[in-house]
Amino acid sequence: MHELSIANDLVELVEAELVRAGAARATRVTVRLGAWCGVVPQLLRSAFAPAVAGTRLQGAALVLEVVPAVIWCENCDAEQALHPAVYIMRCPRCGQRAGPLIRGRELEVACVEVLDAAANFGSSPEGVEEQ
Amino acid sequence: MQPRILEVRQKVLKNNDTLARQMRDGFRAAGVFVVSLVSSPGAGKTTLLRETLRLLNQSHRVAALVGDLATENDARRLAESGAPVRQIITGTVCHLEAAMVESALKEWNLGPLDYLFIENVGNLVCPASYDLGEDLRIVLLSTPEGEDKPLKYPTIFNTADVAIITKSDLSDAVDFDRAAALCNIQDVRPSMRVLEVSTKTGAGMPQWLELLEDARRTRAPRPEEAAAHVV
Repeated sequence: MHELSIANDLVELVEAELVRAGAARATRVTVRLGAWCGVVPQLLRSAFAPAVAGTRLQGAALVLEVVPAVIWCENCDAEQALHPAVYIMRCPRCGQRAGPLIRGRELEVACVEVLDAAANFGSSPEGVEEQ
Repeated sequence: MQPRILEVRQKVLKNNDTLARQMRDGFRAAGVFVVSLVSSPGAGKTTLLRETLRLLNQSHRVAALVGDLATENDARRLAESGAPVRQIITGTVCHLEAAMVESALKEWNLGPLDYLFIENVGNLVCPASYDLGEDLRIVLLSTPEGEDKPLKYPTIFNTADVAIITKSDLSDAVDFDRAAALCNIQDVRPSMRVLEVSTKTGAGMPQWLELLEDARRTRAPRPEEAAAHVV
């Protein structure tokens, strides 16, 4: 997957939110990644620093929340989460073939922690904080 | 001054999704049925599409867009069918996005068309994430690629509507395990419709055209549209 391109889209999205909220810069970006969204978390993390360089996200921490893939099993009459490395659409409990994915394709910015213009004094973090 | 939290809850690819939805509305208003094809490079998209265009062109008005990193070779091949074709050169981009399709369709009056086909860049990974506004997404798997391809690339199969096993005439020569392939497809995309075709022998082509015509007549919403309200 082209994670740098995804990271650039992410930066654009957050910059637009900063403008909308009248904030100066972002200090933490929380992204929800579904297990089936096609983006590799580690690669997105690697692409984040180059993507934010020179932007109002520079120095922001990246928090990745991985959302497990969840199917509905008619047999068990319940939601079942698929194992992270498994892409077979079968209920992990009873083995029955499952219906469509209920959750697990997310690729979204959940929330952003921001600082307003007046808070420019004080230390600013260098580089990306690992979470 | 304390930092504050902005609740965002927006898809990273929302620009593509929003545009794709607008394009879908536009296609429906124009009455054109849009079909996209994805596969690995060399699975037979262009050949299948050329034959499809040639056959449909006899009784319908059809057109096609094809995406490649470089060359206009595929557009030339598709144009042999007699249908109007435009090439999208992506440069280094490994997949088509809605904006590229919109741009390629500028000043093209889609109203008279029955079908618009979009052949994606040969890639089993990235196209899965990009809605192009199509009504139907077809994933191709050729017999030489092997029966476990769906298990290796589950997302592209899971986000497509129909799977076509191409080059069925080579099945024996490459020891393709048809039963395993069908089972694997169902494992990653339960209830997926699967066709088997050979453009060389013509096998399966009537069923493929019938599937297209049925889909165009009924135009059921794509799973992504339904899922958009859930995820």
